[in-house]
Amino acid sequence: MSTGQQGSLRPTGWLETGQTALGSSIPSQKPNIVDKIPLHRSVNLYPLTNYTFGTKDAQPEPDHSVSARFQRLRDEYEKFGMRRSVDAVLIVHEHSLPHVLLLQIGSTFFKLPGGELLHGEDEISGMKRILNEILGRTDGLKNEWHIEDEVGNWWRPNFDPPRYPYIAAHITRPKEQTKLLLVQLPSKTLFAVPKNLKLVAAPLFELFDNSNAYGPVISSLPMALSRFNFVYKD
Amino acid sequence: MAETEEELLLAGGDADANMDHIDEEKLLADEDPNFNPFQVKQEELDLFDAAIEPSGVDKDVPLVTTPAVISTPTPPSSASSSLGITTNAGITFSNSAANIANITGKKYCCYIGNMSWWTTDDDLVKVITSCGVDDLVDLKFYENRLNGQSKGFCLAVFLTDLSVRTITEKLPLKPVHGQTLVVLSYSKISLARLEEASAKSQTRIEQQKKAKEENGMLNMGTIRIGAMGITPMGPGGPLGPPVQQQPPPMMNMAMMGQRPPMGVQMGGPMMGGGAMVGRPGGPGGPMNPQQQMIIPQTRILPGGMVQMGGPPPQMGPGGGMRPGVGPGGPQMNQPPPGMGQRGPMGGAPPPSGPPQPLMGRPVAAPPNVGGAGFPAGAHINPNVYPGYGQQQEAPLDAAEVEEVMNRNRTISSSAISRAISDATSGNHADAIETLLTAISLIKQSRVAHDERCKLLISSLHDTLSGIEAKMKERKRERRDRSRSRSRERKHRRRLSILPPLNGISVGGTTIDNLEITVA
Repeated sequence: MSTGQQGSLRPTGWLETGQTALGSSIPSQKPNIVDKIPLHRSVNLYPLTNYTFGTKDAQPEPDHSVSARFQRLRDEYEKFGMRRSVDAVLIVHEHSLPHVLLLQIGSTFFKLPGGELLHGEDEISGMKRILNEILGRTDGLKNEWHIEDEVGNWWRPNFDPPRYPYIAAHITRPKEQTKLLLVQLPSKTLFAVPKNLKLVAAPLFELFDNSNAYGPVISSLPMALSRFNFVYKD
Repeated sequence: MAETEEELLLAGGDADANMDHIDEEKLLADEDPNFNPFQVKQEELDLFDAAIEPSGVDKDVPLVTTPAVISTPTPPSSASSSLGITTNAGITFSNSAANIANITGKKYCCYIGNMSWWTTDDDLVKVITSCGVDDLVDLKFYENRLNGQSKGFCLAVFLTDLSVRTITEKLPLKPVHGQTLVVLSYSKISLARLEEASAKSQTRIEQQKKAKEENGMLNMGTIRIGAMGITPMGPGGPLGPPVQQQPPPMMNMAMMGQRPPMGVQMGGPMMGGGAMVGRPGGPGGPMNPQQQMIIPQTRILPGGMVQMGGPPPQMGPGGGMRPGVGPGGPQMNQPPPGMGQRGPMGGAPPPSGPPQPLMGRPVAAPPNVGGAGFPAGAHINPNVYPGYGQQQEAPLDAAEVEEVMNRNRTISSSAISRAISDATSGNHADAIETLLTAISLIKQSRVAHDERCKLLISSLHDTLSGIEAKMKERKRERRDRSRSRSRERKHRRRLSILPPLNGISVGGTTIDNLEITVA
């Protein structure tokens, strides 16, 4: 879960010479205009009951307080530049409604399964590594994670809690980028949940417009996911 | 020592500024990002971030404050190269006061204001450098916490007093993005002035009102294309995301439950705007996240075998998710428990049929469409729409008339929706009274002669007569029903095996069927 110590390359920033403002909304990605993208996307969902949930040892959080977390972000920023995180959107269906799998910490906090990419790690293998760490089975078999699509990017402009789904116009060096990736689950599988976490499946209507309970990122998932045609399989 | 003082000063300045602008904060949920957000607005924090705490930690305990973090000493060299960009003084651009502490020695600050919200840190560095100043240490932008937008001013930190003086002198001569920058001394008064200036252009409610007066329901910050060109916004004309816009409280209550009949909705762009802009699922409001299905964790047996609890236990306590299977027996007429909290508020039409005829009537009245609410710039024939012409003829107090009209529209629409909801729940007397009150209020208003008011009144009358008709119908129905009920009861007493009908209206056929079953 740490930003890794290998490599000492430091990003030189995204500004092109002579420019004082960013040239694209996701400057961490090379602009890639592809003209053959299907207009509609379909994604298979399977019922919650197709999956089995076991437990495994608790996974300690890397930081013991919010302030420690931001101090670490600050320290790592000094060393490696912007932090890159990935969160997985895992979806099941129940009563013909998509439900998003969330990890519950305590009684009122929820987060998507996800974490920080290692320095230089690519998003897809990083996402798989993190999912294996958090939910991967412990019986020797491998989980199959298929990264289906990217459903959003959130930016942390400062060493502070606020995150926004855009880089504010006056910001040229955000401190963290969180990419939300839609992960296609196999029709049946086993997950092992760390003992200190609870896994819940939240229906879209519960998340919708409910940032008080889930924060802005999760509560905007119903909007972000509405472009997919979810196929309710058995 | 100097370092500590600096921090205290900074922290103090921020704190005071926030005290002074407590109202603004309430309105905008806005605050200096560095002003110890953890203590002040813990509940507004990104919940995810708070969630990273170990589960054992009591979330109510005030967290360690940010200033504590700031005071962690770091050698200046590492701070100066934090971004890997080379500037003469090694600027950190952290947008935060934190790094100021990282540089030892005395520092000199000033505020730079009157920037557009799209002026970047690099824009400023460029212009500052062009003034011949090369000891800029840090820039800290003040931001609207709600949406991350720049407030159009920032704190600049230099190593020498000379730089501050040079900046104060030269910066105003070098416009950035067409804005003349303002340099103010590093004092609470300056900060207060800047905050005030940004608050003025920012106070959402005022902006909303203004925007509404000007163009119906254009949201702040939205660039109008093809109208008078695009004017650059002032010093931080930061504008809010439309999501935050909420209908006026009164509408909020009245409109959300049930949509008013169409005829009323057409009642004008302003009212329509206010009502419709509301958050779609809004009234659900803060909810306890109790609706997930807790996934019970099945144990993995030694040897990798997984104990399959059988599919239903996986769902375990989520029994609530299965409507109709609940302990209370069949609940045909109720929404599924999961939906319960939100369901009726979601702007869905009332579940049962009665309002149908009511709704129909105002829609059917064609003059309603013309009477009010023309889209801006619509081609209107004054002969056909006298109401519109009238408004044109009296430009003297047009704004006033418009205001009263809006109030009347609100009264009318909320009365109608309230009445319909009352009527739906069988409370016809209240519904009628609400409507009569609304009619008399509108009749008494100063613009009662206005054609649009007459339309409002006529749609109120329509609703009223609809409800009266419904009431009579209901009375008749009730008599019928009570008769059939008594029959039903008789049967039940005889044969207790009959399933409870649970509120399903018992028509003649049902009873017949029952009788057949019984026989």
